[in-house]
Amino acid sequence: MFLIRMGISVLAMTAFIFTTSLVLMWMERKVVGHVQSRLGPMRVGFHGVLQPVADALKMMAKEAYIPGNVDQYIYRVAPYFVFIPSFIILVTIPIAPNLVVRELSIGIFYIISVLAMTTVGIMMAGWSSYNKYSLLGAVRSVGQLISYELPLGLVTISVVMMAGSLQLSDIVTSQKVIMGLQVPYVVFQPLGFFIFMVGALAELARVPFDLPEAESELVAGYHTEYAGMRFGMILIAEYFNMFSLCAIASLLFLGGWSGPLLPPVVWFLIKTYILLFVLMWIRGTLPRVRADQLMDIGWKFLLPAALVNVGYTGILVMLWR
Amino acid sequence: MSVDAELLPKKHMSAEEVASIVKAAFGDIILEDEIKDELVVKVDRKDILAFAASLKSSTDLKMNFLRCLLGVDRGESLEVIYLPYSLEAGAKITIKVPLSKEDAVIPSLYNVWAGCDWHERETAELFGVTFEGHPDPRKLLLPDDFEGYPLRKEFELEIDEEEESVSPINDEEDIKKIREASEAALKAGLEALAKSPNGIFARGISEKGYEVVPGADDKTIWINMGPQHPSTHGVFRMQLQLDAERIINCVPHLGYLHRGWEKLVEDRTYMQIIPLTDRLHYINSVQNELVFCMAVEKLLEIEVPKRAQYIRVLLCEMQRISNHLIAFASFGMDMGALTPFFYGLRDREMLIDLLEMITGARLTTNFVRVGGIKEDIPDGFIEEALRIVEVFSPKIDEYEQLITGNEIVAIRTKNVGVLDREDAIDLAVSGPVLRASGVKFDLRKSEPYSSYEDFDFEIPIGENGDAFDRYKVRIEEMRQSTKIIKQIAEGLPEGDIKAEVPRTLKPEGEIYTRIESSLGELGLYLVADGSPMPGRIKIRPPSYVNLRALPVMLKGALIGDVIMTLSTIDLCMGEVDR
Amino acid sequence: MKGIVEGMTLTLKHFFSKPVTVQYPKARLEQKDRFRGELRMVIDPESKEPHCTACGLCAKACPDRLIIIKTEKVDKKRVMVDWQFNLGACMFCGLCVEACPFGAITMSKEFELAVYNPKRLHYNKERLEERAITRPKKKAAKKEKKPESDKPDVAKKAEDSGKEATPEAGTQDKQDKSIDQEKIKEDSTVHKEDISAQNTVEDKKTGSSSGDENSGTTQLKMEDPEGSNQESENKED
Repeated sequence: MFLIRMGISVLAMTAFIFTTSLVLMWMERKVVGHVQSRLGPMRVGFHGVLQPVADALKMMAKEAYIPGNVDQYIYRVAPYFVFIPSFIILVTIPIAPNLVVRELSIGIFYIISVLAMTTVGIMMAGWSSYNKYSLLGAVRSVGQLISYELPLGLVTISVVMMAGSLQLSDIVTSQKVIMGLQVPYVVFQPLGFFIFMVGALAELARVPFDLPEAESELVAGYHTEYAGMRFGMILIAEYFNMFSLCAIASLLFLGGWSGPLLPPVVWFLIKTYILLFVLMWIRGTLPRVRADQLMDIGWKFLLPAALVNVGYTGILVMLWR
Repeated sequence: MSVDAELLPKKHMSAEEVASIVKAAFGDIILEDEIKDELVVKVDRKDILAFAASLKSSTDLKMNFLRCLLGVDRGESLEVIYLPYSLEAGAKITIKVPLSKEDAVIPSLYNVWAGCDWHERETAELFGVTFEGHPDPRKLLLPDDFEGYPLRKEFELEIDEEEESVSPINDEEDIKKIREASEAALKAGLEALAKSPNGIFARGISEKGYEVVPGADDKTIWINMGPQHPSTHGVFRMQLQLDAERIINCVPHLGYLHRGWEKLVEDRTYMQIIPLTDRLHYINSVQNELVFCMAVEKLLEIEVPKRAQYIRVLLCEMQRISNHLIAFASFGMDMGALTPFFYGLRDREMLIDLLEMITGARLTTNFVRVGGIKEDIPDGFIEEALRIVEVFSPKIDEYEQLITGNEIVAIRTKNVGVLDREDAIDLAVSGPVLRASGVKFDLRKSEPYSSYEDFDFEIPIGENGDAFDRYKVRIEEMRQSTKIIKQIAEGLPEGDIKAEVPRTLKPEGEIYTRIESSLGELGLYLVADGSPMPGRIKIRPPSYVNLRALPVMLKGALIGDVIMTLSTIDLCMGEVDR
Repeated sequence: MKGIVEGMTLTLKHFFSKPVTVQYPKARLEQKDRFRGELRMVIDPESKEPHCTACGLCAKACPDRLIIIKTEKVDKKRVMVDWQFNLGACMFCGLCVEACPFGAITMSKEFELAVYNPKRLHYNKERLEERAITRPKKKAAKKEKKPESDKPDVAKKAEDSGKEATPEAGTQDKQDKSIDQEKIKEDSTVHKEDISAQNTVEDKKTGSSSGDENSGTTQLKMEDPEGSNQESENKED
């Protein structure tokens, strides 16, 4: 039984990951296109819906070459280290009150620690590529990811303090009920929500913090030497991490699946996709910050703000008890 | 934008005044002199260094701005011509130094005017003149292994024979033959490359090396930003010397788009040159044609009718807006903001459509003729122009809303790529780059051409000379240009569109004309000898001279600033390389 | 933060407005009238003969010398045998069209000219005639105005022009412009693409007054080895 259950869940998760990544790829191109007064993909399928499928097929058909000078073992293994964390995170994300693969009592703590594993994968990819630009890009992105995990963690602590539990479904159900409606935590912690979103942007390496994949900068990024399906895996991992982090944000701050009238799954997806839309909207608008300014923002602005937020949450919790 | 600084030049010295001062101080070294459009003196090469230095340091004629430096082949001998100018006093002079072809050596004026640098390198490689004391005498536009001096009259161009296609067309066989021929050519090229002394590094890394900055040790690395860029600036190559993330040295390499323009035009009549001038700065084609036609008109003493002048100004200003939109678009894109690119180009479509309505082409217009313009404006043009002015002005506010107030843009561009006022003048930088450094100098106000004095507009300047100021100056210039277009569209006089011109143009004389193009001072030195084809045309491209300021702007910058600074100089490689 | 928020409201506004894309190749934009596209010959709709008289002005005007005209003398008049031109090297400047005093070539609105075989870009007379634009030479045949007076006018102009022996096609064409400039505009058989040719023809005519001056200068042009400036001819050298 256990094996069958595991098999079904693995298949379901894989299908969910791939579908979500494809949907997100399409949505990004369409949203950014419309922000720029143009249409985005239109030809492949109705309004370009099959465009990501075409991209995936193209990527699979490409020659997955391995350059001669790379470190053979690490080069092959690195994409998995980038991809597997997103898989593992999905295991604990509750989509609806009882729709979760495996509920962990230390849910959010587990997620934050697994997110750090992506950093290892990126460093492996950059190091093994035997390319000084890849290495520089990997080093920069590792610095960025590590610095921004701290504010992220601190803000999650604030929410956990208010909720009283690390388990994700408990965080959602423990929202205070005022006048018959469940009030999401964002009302009590606007600063916390803002810090979480900025930290998420940096974790995902998206504009305005997309130095690791900046095209018009000098270095080309840690995934330069990857082609074919290996690159495809890295790309899917990136898009799915976007979904995961927005899902976590909506669970922590926006109330997850709670809401009147519609079924919980729908509410969850609506909230997550609104956050994803905001991410893509930001991508279409803002320019990129420079490498040193990125670190400045992380350490000199976000971290103190997160600490202030923790203090403020502490006071709030004391007043309520 | 502050417009409080004084408009330069403060006075306009006439050629006679300059002549009296120069002759009084240097009467003994001047071989010949005459006054045509400005004072023209001939000096021997042993005196040129002292002459130039004292012109620069003289208190009446502070000639601190070198407009151009060129070489001319006079048949039997060569001549190097210097064209300094005074930004404060408005004094101009043309200095000619004759040289013999066998012994073409002349002291370099690099220490007097830093703007001589690339002009001298170019003259050296194209004419075979040696400039003694030049710090970096490598080839600039031509490949390192090029032999010969192209712009000397004895250097002949190889012209392909015209093929006549009398054979019947058989698609399969023809394509097969062409493929085989191209593969054979590729193979031959690769073999030749393998045999050449430096292989694929034939360009740029030669024994003479670069100017090594004293104190830099082996911890520095050299990075190449190759001719293929992810940004939209054309084929331009830079080598950067980095110390961790700071840039110590920057070596630009030009010449990837060199088409030998100045040699091509010596073989064509004046009418045929007009489409070729389009292709110098291909976005501002009307301005290039304008400077050329103005030079010929001045030599032939033709007066252009008012209506034609107004229409020329209208097109020039439209192309100024179009060029600044592209500068804005690539400014945003190089920072990572993708949307300004699309907004800028979307709105540029309106202007380009208008240009197509009147000239027939979107980019290479071929519209200005000697004596006027080619044909009159079509019906509905004035209404369309006014409508576009109405629609366009709020769009500039939109761009400002998107970029100017943005905090991320502020931290990316403020105090980045700073060019001091003194450096800017010494390097002869012009256009928005000069105005952003605080120098209020615009040729449309100081030497109005083509009826610019009839219009009311302002000159925006910046304060710090950083990238943000250059961007802001361009946005303000777009606003002023829409103001001018509105004034023209509302007050276009009736009249001829072309003056009476002789059927074959045979001007005679030499003249240096300059206009304020979107990138800066676009100058043209024309040597005409009374035949239907010109003897020598030298273009002084604004972005070529502005690009020389790039290493100065990048001192102490980080890698992330390189692309930002490069995009705010606003290059067009078609003009830089010719 | 304020600047960022303002920028983002702007992009949100654009997100909800209509995109400006025109989905080429399903939807196309119309070129303007003066658009300089592919070079086309102008032929008479009835006799299918080109208006070209092989004067050679276009060949002299082209900056890249792409036009090659082959002529031969038939019955003491010069007749065009072949008109070759290399579309692959053409820069679409339009100087040849401006130079032609007969409006025998014009630029169409065609710009989708890519071919697989580069030899197809070398146009000669047959290929040009396949793609030619029709414009009638004789106005009288189409319109009912002045049916009789055409003939005497022809004879008169033929005498005046003197220097060139009168091929029927050539001189009639020259007179067309002086007689029927306004009618050309009204003629319904004239295709839109012709307007550019008409414009250039008319502008040239603001200078010179009659047909024979044109033919006179034509002759002079042929012998002049140097210049080929087709400005409006007011001054004779």
